[in-house]
Amino acid sequence: MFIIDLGTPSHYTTLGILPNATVMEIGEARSKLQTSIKNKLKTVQDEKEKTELEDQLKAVNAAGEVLSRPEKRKEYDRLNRHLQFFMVRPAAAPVFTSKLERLFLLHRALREDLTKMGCPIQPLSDLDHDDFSTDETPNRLLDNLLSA
Amino acid sequence: MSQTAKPRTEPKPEISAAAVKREKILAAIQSLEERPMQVETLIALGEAYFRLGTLPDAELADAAKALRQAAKYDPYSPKMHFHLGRVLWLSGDFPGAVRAFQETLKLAPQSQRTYLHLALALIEMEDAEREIGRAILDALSRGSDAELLEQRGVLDEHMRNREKADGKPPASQRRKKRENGNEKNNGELRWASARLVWIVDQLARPAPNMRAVSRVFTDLAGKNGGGTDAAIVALLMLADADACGSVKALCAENHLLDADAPPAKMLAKVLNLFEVEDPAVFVEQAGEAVLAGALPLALAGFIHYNRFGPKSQLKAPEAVRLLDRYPEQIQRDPFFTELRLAVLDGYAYSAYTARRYNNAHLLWESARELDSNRVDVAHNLALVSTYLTSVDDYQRDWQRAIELRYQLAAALEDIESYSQDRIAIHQGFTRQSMTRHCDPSAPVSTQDDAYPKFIADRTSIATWLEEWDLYYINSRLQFRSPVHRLGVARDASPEEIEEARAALGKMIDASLHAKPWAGIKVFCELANERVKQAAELALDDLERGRDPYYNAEKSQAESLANEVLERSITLIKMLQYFLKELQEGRSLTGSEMRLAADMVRSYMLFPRDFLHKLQLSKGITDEEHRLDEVVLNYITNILLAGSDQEESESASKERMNAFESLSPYLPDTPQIQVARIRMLSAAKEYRKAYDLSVKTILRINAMEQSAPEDGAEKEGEETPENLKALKENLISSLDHFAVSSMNKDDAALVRNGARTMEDVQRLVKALRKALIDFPRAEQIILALAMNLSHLGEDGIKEAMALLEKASEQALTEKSRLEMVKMLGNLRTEQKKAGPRAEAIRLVKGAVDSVQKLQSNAAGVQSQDDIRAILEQAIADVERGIELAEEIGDNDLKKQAEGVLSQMRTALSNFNRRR
Repeated sequence: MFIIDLGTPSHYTTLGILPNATVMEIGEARSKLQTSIKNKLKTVQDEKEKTELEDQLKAVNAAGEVLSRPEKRKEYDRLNRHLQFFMVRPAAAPVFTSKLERLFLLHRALREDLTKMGCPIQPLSDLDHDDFSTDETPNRLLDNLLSA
Repeated sequence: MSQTAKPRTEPKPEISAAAVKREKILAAIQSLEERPMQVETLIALGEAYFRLGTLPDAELADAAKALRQAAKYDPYSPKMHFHLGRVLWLSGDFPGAVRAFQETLKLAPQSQRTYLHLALALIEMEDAEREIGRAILDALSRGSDAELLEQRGVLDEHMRNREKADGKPPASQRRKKRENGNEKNNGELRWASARLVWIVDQLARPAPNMRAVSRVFTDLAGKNGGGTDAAIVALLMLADADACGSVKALCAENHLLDADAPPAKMLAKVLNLFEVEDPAVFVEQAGEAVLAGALPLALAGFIHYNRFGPKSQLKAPEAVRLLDRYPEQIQRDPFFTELRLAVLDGYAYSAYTARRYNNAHLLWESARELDSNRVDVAHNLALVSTYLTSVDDYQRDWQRAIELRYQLAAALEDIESYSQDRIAIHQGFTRQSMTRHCDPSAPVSTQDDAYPKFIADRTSIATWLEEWDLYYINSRLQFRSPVHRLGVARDASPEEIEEARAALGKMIDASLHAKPWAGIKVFCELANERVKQAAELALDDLERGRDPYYNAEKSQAESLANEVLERSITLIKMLQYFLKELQEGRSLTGSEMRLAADMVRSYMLFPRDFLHKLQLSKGITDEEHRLDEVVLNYITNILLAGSDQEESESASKERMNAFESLSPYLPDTPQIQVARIRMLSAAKEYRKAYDLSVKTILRINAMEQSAPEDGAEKEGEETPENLKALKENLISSLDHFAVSSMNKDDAALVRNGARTMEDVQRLVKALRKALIDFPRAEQIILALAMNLSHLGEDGIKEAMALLEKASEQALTEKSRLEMVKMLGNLRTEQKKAGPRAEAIRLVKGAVDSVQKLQSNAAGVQSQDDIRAILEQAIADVERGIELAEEIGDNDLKKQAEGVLSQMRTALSNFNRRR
């Protein structure tokens, strides 16, 4: 192996957002940065600094342009998976990182406990059910064979 | 033992009711399938397969299969499609589940149950689908059939145009949103849990619509028996730490806590826990409540996590120690382990973002102790190691992180598990390796100036070569469309499909099989199976035609094909760089030759015809020229350059190894074989050099025999003169190999020849030994035969047998004639041997008897006896002379004549004295 460079910039790091940012978050981040840079440009005197800020603005615009369009973002993500890859990721179980998973798990746990307390509650969906005998349709031919 | 005692019986294993039912259903199916296929039978079969697929303990794959059969037999029954969708959801195939639910709705358009599950499947997919799923839940919560129908239309439109979807909800949906932003509840909710699911979905959003939730909550609380549902909703809301205040208010407004029902009691208990500020007291009370069964551990755990976890004011050590205060019984629960890991991970992440890498490392190490197979922990540890340690140290952590992703896929027997991660990591290392020397924004194939430094950086170039192949393999395996998985066109011929299958299989074996990762062999088997399945499907015209993934994956496949093209061009250019170095007079080192060979091997792992077609389509080459042949030409020149000059043994070995590694690809011409032989010889691999030489000589013989009579040569083939010269060279080298393999003394003896009988004996021994390993070294054969002939009759016999056998297998006519001539001489010698031996015996006997007379050793007394002995001796010598003359042995004759003269003189003197 060789020296890994963890500082390679990506469109996500340019905008200061996570790879799973929504379209709204991307728009907000882009807008915020554009405003900030433009404000700085109004007051900056130094030519070198001005050039740097202009480059930053270009990078922000380019990042926003790509990430706000789903097809372009998809292609960018595919070609630059590695840039997202070299980032920390949540190692906790999904029930701690995803509200939806948490809520479904909780409902199952509540159902289990309340049933033990003599207060059975229905599952949220058939995905938590395993008895579908009520969906069976009586069929004379089949039922005769089964009872034989 | 008593006579009446009952024999002991083994306890019967319990057979579950489901298993009994399964057996009966299978028997019924068998019976039904034997009947004529009338409507009644078909419907019965449909119902039978349905019951089979919905058994509680059915494996998901088996259940899906059974339900598909059920739908086949009774396609107009909505429940078949519904339950297929349910099973597909549970299997993680959300798009499949959506399709099944859509089929269900065609047959039962009013089924809110189906809409609910459709929404649950959509929520698991991409943004656009999730949006539709949420809209369906909204419609369900209002019980609005009209809106549900509308959403169904939106979904159908979206699925049809999926490729063109821009991620935003389809236009018709957006319009509807604007028009009906304030639509009130105007329908009947026939599937009660839909409302709860809607609430769950709302609560899960980053910004839940709490007003709507409160409204629904109040509705629920107000209904008969709705107190339970409302309490459940309140409990779910409490999983979010910030919701305590609003929950209390809602409970108070709706008098939820006044009820005596278990949900209300649980709710009251939880709200009390929220009053506890002291963490230790909280843990004590929560622990007691959980053990008493008053509330589930999961709920206590989430509340604990929110109030006293990474987002709280507690420092990491305090938070970790706090968890240790829970009762042992709770700490042993698997959920608690997850809670602990979540706390560690949360604090580790905070430390990492604050650049306190040592702390982050410690915390993730602790997390690893809880679950050594947690991929994300291994990943984070590798990342933080990169900041803290040297290459040698962090590369171990990265290898572990990579290994886990293969190991777990193998353990789950599911190639798709962690496939995106594997693609990303290999792509990451490929890109990382090249960015040290190349500009990442431009294709590597356009950066010729960067090659010298890139190639000189052995670690980076080796990583670039290896990691890209792994990236490519995993990218191919992830495709669901069989033709994209193989990397062929939709109209590929069976030969092209087979070529692609074989090439991908070879790549998997070459790149992965030898990796020292746990589970890698299982992974390779799974990968090869997946490739095989793709080939089988691709060969089936019907399957290929209805490939449901072809269009969706097309652009991705095209992107990957472009990457292959770019890769092939880069490899060719790098080989050109090596050739240029050679042309400028520099010799390549052993490691450079190995690198060049690695590049060629990487190139050759692609299906060659496919790559050629691709290169043709992009105008990189033309029909007349195949770039794979150009590549082989390059590497042959690279490896042959300097091979006829002196070089170190190690360089020679590297060159030879590089050659050997490419042997499956190099053209099988005599010239190439001669080069290999030369390398083997330089590397002192004499036996291998010899074996290959014999093989090549025989091949040249065959080529000479099959050469056209008019002498016309095929393009690219050697001329007869060249072949002859090559052959002669090879034949003489056989002896060279034989001698080179001897020890120094024996080799010197062979070169200098034998001077004494002792030398002859030693030489014969050495030559016999050499012929065991080098049986067709012809000069060795001839030398052995010649020396054997000096060892008397037995030697001559052995030499004759050797020459008889060798002459039948002679490599050339010339050597055959030489052997035959020597054989003839030996036969003649053999014929002479008898008379010679007799002549020698006679002469020697005569000399002995005369000597005995002279020393009076014979004990003879009378003069007549003496005369008789002398006369007999003379007669014997005369006979010996005759024999010598007969066999033409002039030396012997001359010797015998000398003896005869002496004896005659002795007799004459004796007669005179008398």
